[in-house]
Amino acid sequence: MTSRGNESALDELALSEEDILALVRSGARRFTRQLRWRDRGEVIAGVIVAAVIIPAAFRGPWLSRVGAIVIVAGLVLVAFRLWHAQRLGGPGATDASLSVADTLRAELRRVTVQISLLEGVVWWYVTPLAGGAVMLVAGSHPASWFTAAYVLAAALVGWAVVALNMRVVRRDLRPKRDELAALLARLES
Amino acid sequence: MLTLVRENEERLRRICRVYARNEDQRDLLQDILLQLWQSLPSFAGASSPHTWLYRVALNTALAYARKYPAQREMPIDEDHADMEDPADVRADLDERERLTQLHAAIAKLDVVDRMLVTMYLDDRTYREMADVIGISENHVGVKLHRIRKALARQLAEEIA
Repeated sequence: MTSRGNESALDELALSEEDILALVRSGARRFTRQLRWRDRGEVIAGVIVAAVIIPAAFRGPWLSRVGAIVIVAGLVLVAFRLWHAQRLGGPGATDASLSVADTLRAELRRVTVQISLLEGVVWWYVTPLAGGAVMLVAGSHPASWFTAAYVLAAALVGWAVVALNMRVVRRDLRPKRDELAALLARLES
Repeated sequence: MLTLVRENEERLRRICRVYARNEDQRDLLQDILLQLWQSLPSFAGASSPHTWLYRVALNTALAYARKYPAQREMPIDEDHADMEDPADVRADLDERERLTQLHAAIAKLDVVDRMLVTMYLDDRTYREMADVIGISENHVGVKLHRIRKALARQLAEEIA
């Protein structure tokens, strides 16, 4: 038996060494660009926190200072949770040289950890950050309409964050987990 | 890596044909080449070059097929134990038509079974298939047996 039988666009692609290197380079550029943008996002967020929140921890009413400290502590908690989830989830599908079954298991573990992370987003992300932000504002504008509106806005934003994360879990991660589990079961059956 | 890719060029093309639509095969090939390049440090001679290449290529193709499902999948039914022998079915078809139908039948297999067929068509041993996929040699044999029956059934239906 031979696998030849249908013509494909790939047949027109002669893989010279230059072609192979060009394909790898353009793919690597795309990959590096994605990483660079992600890293830039983290750096920008860090700079904003440093510039706006940290000084507030050292001046102003005590409640505002506590709020600023809670936000900074919340950001540390967020960073820890993300790092911890990454560590628990393992390298996922990034190590493509594992056997197919091991790769599927690693990916399944990664997705399961991700689901657990997002399902708990209200506790490790929304509550400390929104709570800290409310304290920060309430300290400088005690018992005002502004504070009331801010609390309402923070609650709405918090609700939206939770809803968006639950949506990702429901529409993306759970089907992905089920698909991986089915593939693994298919492989092992 | 260039030498390895050049030596296995036809294998990589074959995997791309099995797992991607015609217009997407170049993208899949690029993904596989990139993964091979990124996975080079993990290749420390622990497995044979073929096993390593197959693992990387099939893992990448499987992820690609999950991301861009293109083919209708045909579940293999184990209840067809008394099917005609594939050799008898094959005898009724001329070579070209047989190959076309065989490819159509393979395309309808699920992504896991397509992996085994791809390696089977490449004359890989059960040991190598087991190493690449991560199951036992006996299990490979059982699965290939089922796949052959499913393909025979599919081809028989085509003839009928």
